[in-house]
Amino acid sequence: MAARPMRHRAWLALTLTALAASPALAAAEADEARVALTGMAEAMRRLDYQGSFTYEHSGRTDTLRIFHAGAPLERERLVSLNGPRSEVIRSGSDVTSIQADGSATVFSGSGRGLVPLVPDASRPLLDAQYEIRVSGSDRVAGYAADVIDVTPRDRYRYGYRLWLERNTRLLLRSVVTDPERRPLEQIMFVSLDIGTAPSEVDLVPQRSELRTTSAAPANELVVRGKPYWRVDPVPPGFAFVSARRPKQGPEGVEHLVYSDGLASVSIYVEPRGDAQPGFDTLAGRGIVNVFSRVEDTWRITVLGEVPLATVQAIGQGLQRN
Amino acid sequence: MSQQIHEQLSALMDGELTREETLFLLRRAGHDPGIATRWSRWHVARHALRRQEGQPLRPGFARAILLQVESEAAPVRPRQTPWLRWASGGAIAASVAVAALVLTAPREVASPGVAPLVGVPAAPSTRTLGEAPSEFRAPLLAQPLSAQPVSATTAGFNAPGAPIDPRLQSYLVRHYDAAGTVGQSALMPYVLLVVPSQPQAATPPPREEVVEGRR
Repeated sequence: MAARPMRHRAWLALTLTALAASPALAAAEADEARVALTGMAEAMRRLDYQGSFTYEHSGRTDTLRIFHAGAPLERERLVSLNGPRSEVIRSGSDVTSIQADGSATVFSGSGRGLVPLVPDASRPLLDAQYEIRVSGSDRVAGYAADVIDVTPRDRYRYGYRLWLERNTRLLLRSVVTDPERRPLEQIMFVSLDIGTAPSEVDLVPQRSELRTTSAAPANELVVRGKPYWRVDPVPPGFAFVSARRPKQGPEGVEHLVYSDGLASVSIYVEPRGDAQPGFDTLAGRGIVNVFSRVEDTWRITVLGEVPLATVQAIGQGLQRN
Repeated sequence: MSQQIHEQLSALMDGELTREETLFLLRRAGHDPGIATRWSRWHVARHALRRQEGQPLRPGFARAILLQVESEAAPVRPRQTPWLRWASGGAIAASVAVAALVLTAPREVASPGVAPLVGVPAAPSTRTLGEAPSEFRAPLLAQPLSAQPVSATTAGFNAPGAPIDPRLQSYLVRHYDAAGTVGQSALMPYVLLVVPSQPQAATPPPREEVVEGRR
């Protein structure tokens, strides 16, 4: 065997040493990642874009098309391209959900975007729950992308890997992972046109016949005073954000929101129906998990993009103020 | 660890070690954890430098490779020309590479320039609750609903072609609305309202299950 040149090992040692990032460098990368996340939320609302993306979850792959018109009036339409046709249309603060059977439900006053609404990345507590950093670069749907890793520090939240278009910060791809970093769902644009406003035709429902159209109950009102309910103990890192109640409803009915700065959990407290089962139930689809239980005359339903352990812990910790 | 071992490891990575030298080195690695650790680190470093996805080799890799090498018929040749000697070493290195591939098991779509997410197999579920029973689907989202949008169905997630339960629609829309108001919400809200609810053909059942428990 010929003697191996020592310079190989010296070079390797030097490279590995260089790979060990300094704390200052890590902090700068974290700041850069936060700025990118903030830019992403803004880009998803402000820009005109349209494209198709795949949604992988629960062992299946679906394809959807999105049309988005930015300011002044934000309008969006999300359409399934495989299986029975379903659509969600948003115009300003109104959301219409059209299901496969032709039934449509209009939710007035709900004004959130159909695509990424990321997080208030400037929240100081976020660092306690997640590590956020730029992890590399890539190319998605023909666009150069920066890749941001959001890694949870415990098992009560998911992790995210986000591919953001380099110039506009539009989300091109995302992978959500469980606390053990196993992929749970993935969204990836396969074609995308940034900067071209969709036509009027693309922003309205295409179904010629809607079997039924109904209106959801009036929007909830934000509670200014002390809520009826609270969660105690609350999973690490989560804190009370807001409480809402229907305009007309019995005392005790409430919708609470808890958040860790990135992931949010809703808790719905409603009267127990006669047909409601007395046992606890857990459900999940994609990264959304739902826990439901009955306490006395109340049905408590916890829903959020968090692990089952989190929705269950929050549901079990709910108590009357 | 001696300089000679270093050089032998380096040669093995490059496929320049003979069969006999490989066997000797692997046997020694089986008794010296330091050799195994160094080998694993070098592999990781090489993967990183080549922007390949990989993960450290498991302890005990040497034994697995040794068994593989020993199971191969030894060439009965008293002498080899230099190029045959090189080829023999290359074949053994190929065995090592195959073992490394088996242990590498990439999961996520590899992206040049992006570190792999992790080195554990993908799993469809996040179930972490010890008491969570095994599967079944549907009751929660198929319950008759009260104080929710009036709609024409009581079917749940999994009924083929059925709309998503209106109660869940309401929960999701209100959730996105409330969470979005304070700056946080799902990465892709409303997608669940649009994607078909029935299982796809030729795919395993989705994770859209309801798990029932006891109070």
